[in-house]
Amino acid sequence: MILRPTRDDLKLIAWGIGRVILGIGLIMLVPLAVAVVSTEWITVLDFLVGITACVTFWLIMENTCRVRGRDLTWSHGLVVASAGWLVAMLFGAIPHFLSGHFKAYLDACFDLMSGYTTTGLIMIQDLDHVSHGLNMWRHLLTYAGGQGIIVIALTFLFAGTAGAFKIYVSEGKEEQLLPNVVRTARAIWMISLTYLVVGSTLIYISLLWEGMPAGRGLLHSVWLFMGAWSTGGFAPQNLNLLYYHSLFVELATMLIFIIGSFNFALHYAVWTRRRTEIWKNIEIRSFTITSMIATFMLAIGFSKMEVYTTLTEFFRKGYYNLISGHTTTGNSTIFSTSFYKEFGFIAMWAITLAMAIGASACSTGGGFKGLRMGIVTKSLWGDIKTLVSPESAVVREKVHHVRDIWLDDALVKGTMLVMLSYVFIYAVGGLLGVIYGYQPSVAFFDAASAGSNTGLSAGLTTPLMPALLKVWYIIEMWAGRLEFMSVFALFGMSAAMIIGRGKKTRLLKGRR
Amino acid sequence: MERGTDIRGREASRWRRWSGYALGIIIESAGVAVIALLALLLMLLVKVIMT
Repeated sequence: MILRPTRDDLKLIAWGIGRVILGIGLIMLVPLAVAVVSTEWITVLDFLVGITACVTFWLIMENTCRVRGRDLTWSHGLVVASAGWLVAMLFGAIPHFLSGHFKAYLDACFDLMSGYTTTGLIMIQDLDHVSHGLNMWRHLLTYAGGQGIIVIALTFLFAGTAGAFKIYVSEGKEEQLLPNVVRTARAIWMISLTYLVVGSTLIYISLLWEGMPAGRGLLHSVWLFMGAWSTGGFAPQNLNLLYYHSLFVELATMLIFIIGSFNFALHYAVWTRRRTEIWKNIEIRSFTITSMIATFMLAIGFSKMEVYTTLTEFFRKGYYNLISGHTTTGNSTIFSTSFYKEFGFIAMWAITLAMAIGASACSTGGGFKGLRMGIVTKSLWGDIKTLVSPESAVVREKVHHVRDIWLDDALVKGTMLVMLSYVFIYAVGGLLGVIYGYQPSVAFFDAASAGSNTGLSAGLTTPLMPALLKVWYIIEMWAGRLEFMSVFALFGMSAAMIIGRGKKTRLLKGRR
Repeated sequence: MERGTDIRGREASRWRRWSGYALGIIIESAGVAVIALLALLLMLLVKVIMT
């Protein structure tokens, strides 16, 4: 029997979402400051409207929905995370839409979800002439989204509440770096901010080396870092990394997005004296193996097509885009149409599979995740060993991720369920594309890109694509980033509101 | 006196912590370099085999 949520449950959820939206409003202060310094007064107005909307929403929720004496349960946390991202998209899209660079509010929402989820697919028009303020907002939201909107809210707005851990987990980050979840959120920020300084400096030096003026170079280096580290793949120019024609910038961004795709727990372990973790970790091993298989496919594909035949070309045009796809970044050094015009079938599918597999769990990346690939592969290996072992033998497999994890049926089943959910959204997106008349390889490429939060496009994703496909890609990006559980919880609660029983019964009675 | 020792101790601890972070960044970068070099070697191998 499904029980209908009570009024208090809904109020608690709305209160939690209000806090998340306040977080979005506070982040908008940074692009507002950039717009003021750059004397972009129209952009200043756009952000003032956005901030006012966010603060007003928060004030209403804080004053009407606070339930004294009750904290968030697990189910509340799941629904706050999933619904919070959708509401955050609607409010965050206000400055985007007011800028006049979008054909419709749906397009602005698409770019917002793409940014929050570190996807990198874009609908924005005339990107080369976007204001500094809006560009800062685009890159900042992908940087913030990479750490997790909820992590931001946890860091500043949920401190001291016992429900904090529940919404932290609901955002697809299951690992605690430290015993306290708020301290974990702050540790994630410490790692990201340290890399912000180091990575931006590296890119800045590369841009100065290439002759870019100091002031412009500073802004571009920070934006490129934010796009690469968050594995979002945004760049301030329409041609993305192709605009710079610089090997140094490509090497710097590649280094940043590969490191950015590592698990935060791994960063923390390597930074705090467990140095050998980098070689032992299942996700690094999984990434190395899958990237080598994809590289092999890419090299075979290029040889057959007789393109990018020199080592430099292969590295800059092929390997860069492959690893950008595998880390679910989306930075690109080629035109989007080159994927189907030059890469050919094998190389294009190498990148599609790499995107589908994706980066590490509890990182800024998306896709199946290296940890899940490792668990499924090890489990399969265990099954093979069982088959060839004597009947009395007990075969148990483990994976190493910061600590040893013994595999059991429940863990493997849960892992397979999430992976199947990814396959489902990739397949539906691809089939929808085919139904609308796009080439199958292009349709599945862009669908995998959206679902795995990558952002590479073979040319399908434009403002001219059908509205239904835009909506589905938004759903793909959202569900893929949250890794499904909190999305299932939101659907479950919506169903309970319609078909659930009992007016006063509490559906969302979770572990306290 | 005790206060001075305490401040120096905290500074030394902070220094140790941040040098640990720096070493962590270097180790992670080295890991990335190894992965990229392996890929380039593989590409060379495929090139040799295919020609």
